[in-house]
Amino acid sequence: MQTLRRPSVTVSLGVLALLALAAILAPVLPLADPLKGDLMNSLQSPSASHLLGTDTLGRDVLSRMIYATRISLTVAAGAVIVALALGALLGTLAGYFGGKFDSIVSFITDAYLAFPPILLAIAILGALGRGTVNTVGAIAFIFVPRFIRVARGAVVARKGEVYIDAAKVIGAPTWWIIRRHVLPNIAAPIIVQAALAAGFAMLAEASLSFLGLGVQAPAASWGSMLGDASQQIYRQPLLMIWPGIAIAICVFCFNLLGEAMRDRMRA
Amino acid sequence: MLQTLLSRLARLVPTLILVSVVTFSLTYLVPGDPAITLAGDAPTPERIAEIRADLGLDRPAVEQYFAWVRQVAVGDFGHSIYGGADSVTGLILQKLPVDLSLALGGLLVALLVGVPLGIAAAVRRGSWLDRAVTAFTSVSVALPSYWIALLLVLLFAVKLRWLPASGYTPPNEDPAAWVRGLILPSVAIGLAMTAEIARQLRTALVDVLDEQYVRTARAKGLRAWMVIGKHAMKNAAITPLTILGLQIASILGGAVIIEQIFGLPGIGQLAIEAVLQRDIPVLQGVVLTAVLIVVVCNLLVDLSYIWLNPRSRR
Amino acid sequence: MTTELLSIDRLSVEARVGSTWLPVVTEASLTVRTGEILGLVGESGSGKTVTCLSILGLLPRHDVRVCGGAIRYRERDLTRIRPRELEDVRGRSIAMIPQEPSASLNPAFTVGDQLGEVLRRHERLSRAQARQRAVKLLDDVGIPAAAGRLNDYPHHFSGGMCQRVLIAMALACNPELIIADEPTTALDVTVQAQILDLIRDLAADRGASVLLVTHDMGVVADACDRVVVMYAGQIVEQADIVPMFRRPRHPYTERLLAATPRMRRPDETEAPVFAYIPGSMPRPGSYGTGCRFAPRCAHHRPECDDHEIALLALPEGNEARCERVNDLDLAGERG
Repeated sequence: MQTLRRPSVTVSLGVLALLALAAILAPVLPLADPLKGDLMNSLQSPSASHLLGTDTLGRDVLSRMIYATRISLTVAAGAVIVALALGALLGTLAGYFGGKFDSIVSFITDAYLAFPPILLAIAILGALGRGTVNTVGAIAFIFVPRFIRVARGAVVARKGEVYIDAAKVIGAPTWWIIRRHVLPNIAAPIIVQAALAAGFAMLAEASLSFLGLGVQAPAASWGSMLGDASQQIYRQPLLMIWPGIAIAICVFCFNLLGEAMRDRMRA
Repeated sequence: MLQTLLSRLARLVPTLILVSVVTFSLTYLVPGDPAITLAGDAPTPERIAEIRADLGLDRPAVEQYFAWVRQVAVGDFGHSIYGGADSVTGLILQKLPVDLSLALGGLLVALLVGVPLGIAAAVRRGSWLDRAVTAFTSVSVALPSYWIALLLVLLFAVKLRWLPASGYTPPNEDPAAWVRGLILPSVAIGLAMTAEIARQLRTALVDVLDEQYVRTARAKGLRAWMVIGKHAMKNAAITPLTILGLQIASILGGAVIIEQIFGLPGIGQLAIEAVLQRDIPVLQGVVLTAVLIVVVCNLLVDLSYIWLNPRSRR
Repeated sequence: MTTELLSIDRLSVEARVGSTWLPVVTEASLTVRTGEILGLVGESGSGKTVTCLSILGLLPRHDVRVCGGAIRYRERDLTRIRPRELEDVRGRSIAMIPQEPSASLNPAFTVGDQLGEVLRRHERLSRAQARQRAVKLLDDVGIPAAAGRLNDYPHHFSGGMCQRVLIAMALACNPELIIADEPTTALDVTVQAQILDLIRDLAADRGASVLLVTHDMGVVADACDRVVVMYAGQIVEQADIVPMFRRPRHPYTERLLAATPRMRRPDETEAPVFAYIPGSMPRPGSYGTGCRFAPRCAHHRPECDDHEIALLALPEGNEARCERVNDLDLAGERG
C-alpha cells in the first residue's frame, strides 16, 4: 500500500494511532482508578482534579473514557477481523469454485439484506445472552455478508485471468493457486471494506451497549458510558458529550480512511 | 404492471424462506434445552414436559420448523413466555402504531429538509452551499443518531423546555400532544435519512440537469421551478429512492434506540425487554415483523421505480 | 420590406477549461431578417452552436458565459434582460429545434404532455384545448394517426419522428424566429431531406424566420437564403446564397464548397477529386495573432499574420474577413 498523501488520511491515521496507543498504555498512564468511585463527589462537572468530571458513582470520567477505548476498539476490530476471515473465506471459495456452492452463498448474502442489522444483533444477543464476547460474535455475524460479497466479486473478476489458467496447466494444487494468486489480488478491496466496516462496527457496538445489551458492567465501552449518561441527562448533561464525540471522531476517521483507500484503488 | 408485481413477489419467496429458517433457529442458539428456555423462570419439570409435548420439541427439527412456519403464516407468532403469556402477535400489533408514527415523522423530516437541500446544492453546484451540504452529509453518517437525539433532548427539553423529553400520547387521545411528543424523535431518526437523501439527490440532479431534455424544457420558456421540479426531479428521483429503499433496514435498527431514549412504547422496547428476559417467541416475532416491513417497503420502492421510469415498462 | 428581427452585435463568449477562461466566440455579428432562412455554417467547434445557444441564454451556466457584445431583439438586449423576461421570450417569440432528437425529449413524460406544456405555458390553454392543438400540430409535422400518439412516450418514436415532435413544439406558439441547431445531423440521410423541407415549408406558412445551424453545405444550398460562415469562433464570411456559391470571398468558404461531395457532371471527363482541408481548426486559447485560418490557407502571405483581420464590407453587400479579399478570385460553383 503506497502512502496516500492526503491531509485527511494522515490526520485520520494519526488520531486512530493515538487512540490505539492510549488504549494499550492505559494501565501505565497516570490515571485515576476507573473502577473506584467516590459517591460524595458524583456527577461533578470538569475540574482540576477530574478533567472530564465524574459519573454517577463518582468515578473519574477521563480515565473511564481511556479504559473504554480498549473495549470499544477491541470489539470493533475483533468483529471486523472475524467477519473478514469468515467472509473472505466463504467469498473466495464461492467465487473460485462457482456452481451450487456459489449459488447458495450468493442467495444467503442477498437474503441478509432483508434483516435490519441491529435487530438481528439484538435477537442474537437475546438468544446467546449479553456480554462483550457475544457482542463481538453478533456484530461479526451481521458483517460477514459484506466481506463475502467483496471477496467473491474480486475473485470472480479475476478468475479468468491468464495466470490462473497457466498455474492450472502446470498442475499446481488448488489451495496453492488460491493462496499464491487469488488472495493477494483480493487483499485491496477487502482492506478497504474492513476500514469502512470498522466504523460501522463501532457504531453497532455502541448502539448495543447503549441499550444495555452489549458490554456489561463493570467493563465499559463508550457506548455503555453513553447509555449511562443518558440516564443523567437532567442532573449532569455534560456526561454524554465525551463518549459521543469519541465515537463520532473514531467512526469519521475510519470512514475517511476507507473512502480514501477506495478512491486510491479506483485510480 | 401486475406481471412485474407478481414476479417481484416470486423472487421474495426464497428470501422469506431463509429468513424464517434463521429466525426459527434462534431458539436453538440459546445454550441448553429449548424447552427449559421456553419454560421461563423457575421451570418445573412438569411445565418443561408440557412445553415439550405442546410444541412437539420431541419431534425432529425439520418437522418442528414446518409446524412453526404454518403457525407463523397465519399470523400466530406464539406466546410470550412472560407477561401473562400474551399472544406475541397481539403485543406487536399493539405497539406497531408507535413505530409507524415515528417512521412517518422521520420520513417527513427527511423529505422536507433533505429534498430542498439536495436541489439547492445541485442547482448551485460548487458554491459554498453545495460544499456545506456535502460536509454536512459526511459528518452525519459518522454521528450516532442517538447521540444527536440526546443533544436534542438536552437543548429542547432540558434547557429550553419547549418539547417533552419522553413519552407518547396516542393520536386519538390528544393529537397535539401526539405531534409534540414525536417532533424530537422524528428529527433524530430523520437526520440520517436527510443526509443521505440530500447527497443522493444532489448527485442525481447534477447529472440530470446536464441532459439535453432539460435544456429543451428551458428552451420552451418553462419557469425554472417547473424545469427542476417537474422535468429534472422525475428523472433524478430514481437513484435516491432506490438507495432509500436499501436503507430501510438500517433505519429500522436506529429506530429501536430512538424509542429507548424517548420512552416510546414501540416494538423496539418490546425487543429489548425480550432480550433481557430471554423471551424467544417475542424476539422471533419482532424479527419477522421487521423483515416483513423491510420487504414491503422494498416492494413499494420497486413499484414506484416503474412509475418513474416508463422505459422499464414492458 | 424586410426588417431586422434579431441582431447579434459583436458577441463574445468564453468557456472554462480547468481554471482558465478561453474565448470560443470572438466578436461575432450577424442579423436575421424577417421571413428569411439564414444559414450558420462551420465545423464542429467553430462556435456556431454556442452562438445560437447564447441567443436564448441556454449556455451551461458554470462553464460558459457571454463576456461581451449584445443580442438585440425587439429593442431589448437578450443578454441583459431579467431571467423572467427571457423565459417569456423562449418558446413564444423565439423557439429552438435542438440537435439530438431522441435525447431532447424527456423520457419520463408523454409526448402529448410535453407538447401541451408549451401551449399551456404561453397561451394559458386548458388541458383539453392544449390537447386539441397538439393533435393538429403533430398532424402538421406529418406524424400519422396523431391523436393516438399523444399518450406515447418518446422511446416509442424513431429519431426522425422525435425530430418532428420537436419541430411541432418549436412551432406551437407561432414564434417569429426559429433556431434550428443542426436539425438533421443525427438523422438518416433519407430522413434529412424530409425534415428540411418540413422546416422550410412550415416556416414559410407562418412567416417565421429561421436560423439554420449546420456543418453541411449541402443543407445550406437546399434551404437557405443567406449564409454566415464561422471559423474558430469568428465570422469569416456573410453573403446571399447564390453569390456565395458562385464566388466565395473567403478561402475557407471556398474549401467548404469544394469539400462537398458531388457526382461527376456531364461535361467532366473524370470524377471530381474529393477535396478536404488539411490540418485542423485551432483550439480556443491557441489562436495566434492575425488570421486564424492562415495555417491551412493555400493563399497565405506573411501579411496575413501580423495583425487581427477585420470583417470587411464588400460592395455587393456581403462581408469577408480576409486580408487578401480584394486580390483573390476564388472558384465557386460555375454555372
